[in-house]
Amino acid sequence: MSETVIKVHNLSKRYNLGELHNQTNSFRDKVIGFFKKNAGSEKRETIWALKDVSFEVKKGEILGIIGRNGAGKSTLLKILSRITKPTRGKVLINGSVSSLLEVGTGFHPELTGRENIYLNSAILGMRKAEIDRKLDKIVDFAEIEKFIYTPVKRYSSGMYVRLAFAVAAHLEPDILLVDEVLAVGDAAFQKKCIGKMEDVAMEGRTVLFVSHNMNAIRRLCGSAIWIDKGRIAQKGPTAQVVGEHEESQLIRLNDFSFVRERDPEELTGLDFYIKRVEMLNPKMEYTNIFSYNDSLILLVDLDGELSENKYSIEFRIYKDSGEFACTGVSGALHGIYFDNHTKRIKINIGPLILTNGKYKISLSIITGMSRADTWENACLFNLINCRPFSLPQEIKTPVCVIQHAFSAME
Amino acid sequence: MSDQIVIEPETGWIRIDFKELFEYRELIGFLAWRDIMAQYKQAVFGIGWAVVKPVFSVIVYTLVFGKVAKLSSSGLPYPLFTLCGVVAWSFFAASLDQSTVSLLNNTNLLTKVYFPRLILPISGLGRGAVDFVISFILLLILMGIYGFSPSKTFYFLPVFFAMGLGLTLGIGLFFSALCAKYHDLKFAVQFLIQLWFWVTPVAYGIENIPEKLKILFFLNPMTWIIEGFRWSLLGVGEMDLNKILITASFSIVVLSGGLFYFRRMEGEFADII
Repeated sequence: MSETVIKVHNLSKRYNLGELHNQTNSFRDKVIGFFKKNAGSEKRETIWALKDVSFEVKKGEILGIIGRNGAGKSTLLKILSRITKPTRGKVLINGSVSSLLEVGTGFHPELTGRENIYLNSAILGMRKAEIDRKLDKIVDFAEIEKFIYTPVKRYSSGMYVRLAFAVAAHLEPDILLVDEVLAVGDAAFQKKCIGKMEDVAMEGRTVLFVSHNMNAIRRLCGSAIWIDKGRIAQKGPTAQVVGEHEESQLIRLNDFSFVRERDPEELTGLDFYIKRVEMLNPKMEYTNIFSYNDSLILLVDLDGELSENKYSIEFRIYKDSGEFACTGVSGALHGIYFDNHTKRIKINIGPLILTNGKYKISLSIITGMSRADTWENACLFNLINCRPFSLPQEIKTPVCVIQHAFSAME
Repeated sequence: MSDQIVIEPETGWIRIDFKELFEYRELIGFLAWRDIMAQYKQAVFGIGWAVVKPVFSVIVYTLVFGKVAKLSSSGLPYPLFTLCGVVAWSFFAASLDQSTVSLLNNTNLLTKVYFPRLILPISGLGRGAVDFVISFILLLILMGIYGFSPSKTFYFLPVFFAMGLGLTLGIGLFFSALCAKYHDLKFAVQFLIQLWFWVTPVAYGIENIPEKLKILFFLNPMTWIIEGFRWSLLGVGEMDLNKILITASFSIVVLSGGLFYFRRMEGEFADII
């Protein structure tokens, strides 16, 4: 019988809404505010990001943590990583813990690749002796031998991500907490990352994995917990939990509208997010039915303040049964990054070489090394008129590479 | 490292986990190294700035205080007197400044990685320490040029150094915790440092202070720390056991206060910064 390595009991975390939206970090403003309004008449609004969350994780288990944006998944990981304190409850952990909440934490642009390996590894908890030992393997995994003496500010984003992940991949903790860091990078790299996660799993380490990517969750995790509005909605074997989560998404989503607005509940804590999406055909008419070989246009509206200078957009198309069909990302695949003032983006997807059926599209904003926002099931469409037997080439559905183009709209 | 980790709400005054700080000692080194490398890689003169700054200060102060204002320097050659004061003051001012902004400058680390938060202000001292060592060597060279050898009270030097460090680090810890919540307070600290310079006899002898203002200067612990620094190295000025004990106690109290306040606020840093 495996021992329990993580025991979470009645964990709760409360935030002041001011903190979440970063109201004012200015002492001057606070003093002015004190004099302006009647002092003390402001109600302090609070929100429970997590409420009475309890679960146990056994040694060697790979646990998936799923849920919509703002459900509390990242807060849970932050508490388990000891980055923030719980308001109530208790967690007991047996074993060394490493957290990967972001890839490339602490990288300094002026330092060389080699220097950053040391820095990042130390930040993630490795001792110098350990880093010395693993240096060659890390450089090898990142495939940047020729560039390790170049300052990191000269690296392409692909190299940067490979290096950052290479360091993280060589951590050897008993327990690993991962927050969607597999989001970035091109397809080959993501494959490498998932492969490495599988190795970690086979070495008997315990992993907690937060993701929106249901395929990765299905593939890697034996069990999962679904967090909704700060509470555990479901926990158990992956297939069951993921299935129920997807079903709930569909139920709220029989909405084939051409113009879809984001549910405000999902926006808590987000500084920069996708607000709205419109689906059209190339003639700029609203529609959600497309024929095989048609093109689909998405007009994506974003809102909020982004602290980074630029961002990248990603779309993922899934069959309504949850199978992953295809994806495209502006940054890693095309080197297109949008300036943080660009709030409207056009994505042209097509020709749609997919089989008949219902599809759902998820959209993500990727900044630097992480996903700033993911809107699962942003919109749905129907694909018709695919006649497999009369096609010149074989369709290896449902996964395929689809042509697409990104552009900014003002 | 397989003790059980317990995570639960923390309130009130928390003890300082020295054992954990020791375990993370390498990280202090790495972060300090990062700051030093980053600063000097970008600078035109590179590490040369560590020499240029004190030299330039000494020239300016000697001209302004020595020649123009015609203040006296307790019987020592003006440049030597001034350099000694500048070397000490620069380190303490830097240590206060760097520890204050240590959290703000590392927001990304605070929100993504775990390590004992005290690591940040402590590693922030690294840069000032390197500058200090370089300018101290400069000071020794200057002493040699003027024919001074360290006085027999030389072994008190680490004592005064520790007092200054404790005092500035204590204040820095207090302000760094406050700055996490109120980012603009770092400007208040910079202003405080400048103000403090004017009530400390760094570049002029203590004998120059007019009677009416003496109380202001004497209540300033940094006055005695700088004087003590000069006294232990060059043998001038007045120093007695009383002054040492009082200043040392004060520094210990400020340091402890800063440490405990920091620890108490630590749990919220990631949420409010």
